[in-house]
Amino acid sequence: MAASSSGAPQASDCGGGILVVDDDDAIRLLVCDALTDEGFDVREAGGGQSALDVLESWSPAVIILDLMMPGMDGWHFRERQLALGLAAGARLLVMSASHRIHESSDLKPSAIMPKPFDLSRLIDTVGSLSEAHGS
Amino acid sequence: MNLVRPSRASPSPAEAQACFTGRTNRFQDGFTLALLTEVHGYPAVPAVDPQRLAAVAHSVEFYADDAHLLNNLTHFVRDALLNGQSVVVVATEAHRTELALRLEESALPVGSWERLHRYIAVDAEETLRLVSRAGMPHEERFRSIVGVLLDEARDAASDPALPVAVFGEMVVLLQAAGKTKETVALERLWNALAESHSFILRCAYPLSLFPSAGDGDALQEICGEHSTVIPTQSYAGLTEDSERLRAIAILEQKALALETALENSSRLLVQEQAARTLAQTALESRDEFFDVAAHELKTPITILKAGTQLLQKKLRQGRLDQAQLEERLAALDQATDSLTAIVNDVLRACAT
Repeated sequence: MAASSSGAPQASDCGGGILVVDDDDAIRLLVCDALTDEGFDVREAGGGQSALDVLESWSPAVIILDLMMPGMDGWHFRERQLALGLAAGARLLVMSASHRIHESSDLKPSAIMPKPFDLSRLIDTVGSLSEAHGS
Repeated sequence: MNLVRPSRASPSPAEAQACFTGRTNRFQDGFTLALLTEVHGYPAVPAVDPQRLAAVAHSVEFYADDAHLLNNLTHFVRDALLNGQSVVVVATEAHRTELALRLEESALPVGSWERLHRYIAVDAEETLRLVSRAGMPHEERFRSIVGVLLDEARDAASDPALPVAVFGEMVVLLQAAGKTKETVALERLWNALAESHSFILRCAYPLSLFPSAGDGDALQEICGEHSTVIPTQSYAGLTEDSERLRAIAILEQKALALETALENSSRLLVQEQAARTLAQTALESRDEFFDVAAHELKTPITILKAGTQLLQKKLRQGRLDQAQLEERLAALDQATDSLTAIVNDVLRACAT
């Protein structure tokens, strides 16, 4: 895959990938597609539990997390993820349409991004979080 | 000179004399006396049979202010002294001091009567401590200590056949501490003592000790241990039967009005709480509604915005084929449909 015009690092450069956790198929696919185009190693999960399953065997640099999801929601996922010590070094980007996104400090996010978001801003944010993880 | 006589219960005359020698502090060694009469266990104090209680001159007064109590008490003591009886006062320091002042004003110098042992005043708190064991009035201790006082007073009277006039406030201290069970027990000990001693006993409770409807039971229980109940001054001062009946009617009306007011305020409180809960639920569901509505609205908007931007980006980079383009446009179209459906739902919800 070609390096992006915004200069985001290749997955192979930083050794980390991106996990996209969102129950909305269209948004999840969009985000995965855009980040894949930028050269990131992207994996996806449609809910909290399947995200935990992915993390059992893979430690990404960044987790992009939706909050309001059926079943295990974003808050519950984060609690379990930290309690289980899965991908402990990964940066968290909370991405949600909920107004409660501003009350998500207890999730210890590295960044928050309210929906709807600007695609280029998302790519830049993920890029810098991924770099920070690699450094 | 020592005029103290032993009570019919233990201790021996010598022991009692040894204990009751101080004039300023009558009970300076009273605790020793109490120990001499110690009995293990806590026998329940039985109530005096109601028919026999009627024969015990044991009255209780409920008063609204101290001045009224002291006025009545002064009359009680003065009448007794002038009648040749002896007087025993078991009262708080404040009441003893004030009573002595009022008796002096009535040309009855307390000091002289004390020297004759016709007037014996002791501290209610100290006496209560001595007649109690583990916080409960103790029959043997009570009989010994109070019995000795009554005997001493009786023997000093002009005619020992005359009953000793007693004013007691130990029960008030117990009731003020919320110990109704102990209060009633002590009242019963007085009633039981009437079997072996001749006295007329006056108790007086401030009405403020029974401020709420829930105190009615305690008041009734206390009244049950007395042969005569004297209500507060506003009623007790009435002499004509017709006046008393009128006063009773007014008091009954007041009680009814208070009960009604209480019921009304309880009902209002319940209504207010229900309204508050409803408002709280409405607020919470409104918050929830907004959160869900925001989420539902912003999700398709996110797809539209980010999807359009991704298409533009892919077009610029020349990495978009026909199939991909159609797929992306279909997703955007679907997002528009879902947005339209949500807007319609919200508008419908607002209209109802």
